[in-house]
Amino acid sequence: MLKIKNLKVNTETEISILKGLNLDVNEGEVHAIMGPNGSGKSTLASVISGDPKYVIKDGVLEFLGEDVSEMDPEERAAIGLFLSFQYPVEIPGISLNNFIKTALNQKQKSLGLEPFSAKEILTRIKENANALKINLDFIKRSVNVGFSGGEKKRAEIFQMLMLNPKLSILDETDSGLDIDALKIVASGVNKLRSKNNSFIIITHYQRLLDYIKPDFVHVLSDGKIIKSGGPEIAKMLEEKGYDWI
Amino acid sequence: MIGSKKNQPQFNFDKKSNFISDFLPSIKNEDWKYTNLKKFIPENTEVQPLTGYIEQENLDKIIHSNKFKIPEKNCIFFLNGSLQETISDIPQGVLIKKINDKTNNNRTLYMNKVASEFSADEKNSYTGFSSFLEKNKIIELNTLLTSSPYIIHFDRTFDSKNNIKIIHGFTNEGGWFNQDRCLYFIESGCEVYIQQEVVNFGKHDSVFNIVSEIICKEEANLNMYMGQNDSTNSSIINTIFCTQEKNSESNFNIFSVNGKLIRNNVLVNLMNENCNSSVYGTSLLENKEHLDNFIVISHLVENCKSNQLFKSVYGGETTGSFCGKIYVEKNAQQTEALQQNNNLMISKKASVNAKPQLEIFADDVVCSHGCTIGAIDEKSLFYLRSRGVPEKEAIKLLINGFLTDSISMIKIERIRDEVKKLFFKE
Repeated sequence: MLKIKNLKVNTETEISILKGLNLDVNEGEVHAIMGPNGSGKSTLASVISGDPKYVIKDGVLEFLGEDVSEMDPEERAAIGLFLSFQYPVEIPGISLNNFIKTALNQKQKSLGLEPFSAKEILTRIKENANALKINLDFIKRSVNVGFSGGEKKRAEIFQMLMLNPKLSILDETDSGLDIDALKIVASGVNKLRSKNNSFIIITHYQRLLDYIKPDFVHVLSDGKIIKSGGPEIAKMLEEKGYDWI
Repeated sequence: MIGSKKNQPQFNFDKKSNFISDFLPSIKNEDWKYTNLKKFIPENTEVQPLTGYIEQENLDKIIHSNKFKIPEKNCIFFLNGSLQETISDIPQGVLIKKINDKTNNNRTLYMNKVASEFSADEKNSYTGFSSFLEKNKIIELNTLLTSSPYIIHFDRTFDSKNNIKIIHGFTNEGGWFNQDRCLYFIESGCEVYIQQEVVNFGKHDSVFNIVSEIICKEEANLNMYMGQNDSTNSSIINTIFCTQEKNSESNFNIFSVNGKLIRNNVLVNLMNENCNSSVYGTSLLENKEHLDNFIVISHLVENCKSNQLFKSVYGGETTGSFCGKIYVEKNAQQTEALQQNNNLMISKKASVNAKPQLEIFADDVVCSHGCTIGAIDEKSLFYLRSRGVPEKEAIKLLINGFLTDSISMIKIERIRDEVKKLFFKE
């Protein structure tokens, strides 16, 4: 599904961040990426989603067999990519409700499909809000404005469920969450998890992986994946820290 | 014949140089630093008072024109400065009459004279306006050239559900430079919603100089909505002088979308306790417009509140200026005065100058001002795009979001929807 080969990425100011990264994600797989601060985890998430802040210098970035390295972020979203932001952006004046409707129907449009009816969207909003224990009044508020840290992350997962992406990247979605919020977020991910949908979960903590069982765990350090394996790696890291590798 | 040429004020109209140098402000005038009015008025401009006269045939054309639909209900229609009673629909509780004050040549505002008929507070009503009047002769010019200023009187029998539309229409018979003048008198306890529009029915470019004086008596509640969307050929200088008495409230909402030059002067005097005044401005300019908002709110006594909120989006080759002043008199303790001005630049060729001014002589007040000028936030844009919203749509969403808070201040849902349509083209 996602194929990354020897990916080298710089910032606009030519600082090298990813230095030859390899990663393959197949359908239905859940990959966890761990690594010390500044190792390039968020950059990887942003580059996959098409953040214009980063420049791809070399390597392959394919999604569903297509080279996406020069695609606009909206085109990538249309074919099934989703990024849950580490720091969701506050957008004053636009309600979450209106935003998700616009996003959904824009996606339909770029796929050449008919827009959803208002009723259809409402049904989906209700279903997904229920699953995440989100109050419907919350959805009428401006996107992320005045949301608590937990609410922001829950709103991200809500949008993920609404957009039903093929590959979701969760960038430290668990950071700053209390244990109840963490369980709710994990249940959202597990709701979407299927043999067709894949996930990349970026996290610092083993805790989230107790609720979302990964198939693979990778350790990212200085712009490269230096170790890959099963869930046992996360447990070892939690106990021994990054020096262990 | 409505209006006549006989009672024109004495004024030497032959010397054009007089008009330009005597009455048009230069950019050396601090109040006009960022708006060079002379650029908008051609040198060969002829200045003459409007007669208000219009032939029936032309009037019919206007009534049936596609350009502007004149509402059937609750509409007060002025054409070339003259009230058109056959077209207007004046509801119960509104009385319109001419101000017969031919001696007014050396006076620039009518409100003193009118106010003195109703209250003893004559001296007060000029405070806060006088320095502006000295520096802005354009108001004096309006006084000199208006053929028939009207007083629009709202009394207690007026039903606030009747939102009034005031239309200042012009055919440009008088040439380039057109004036209109109204005095609103809102009686105690009256609640009034007014939509003001200036419409150019003429063929060529014009500058409209509209002056509205407003007297809000005790516990009056005035809401005025001013839409500026006429055409790229029109320039407008719209001036409001508002004085407020005890427990009264005024809300002004200005919407600027189109026009060569738009200059708004809003001057409010809070003259007695517990007055409340809000001035909101929303603008989305995308071509070559020039917008200049000039606000002065004077707190002359204690315990009054005021709020200024101006949100502007500048695109294309537009230019703009915001000057917002809060003046707090020495004895005006417990004043609460807020001011916020946010400018969003969506084009590299657009520019804006912002000048918040606070003059505070009291020592126990809450006053604030905030001003921002910035481009579309890249992070927000990427956030929206990463959810599948194309760049163009995402920018539109961000602009709509930016403009929402000043628009949401409109109290009447119907007007709010109208304004949303104007800005968001929904």
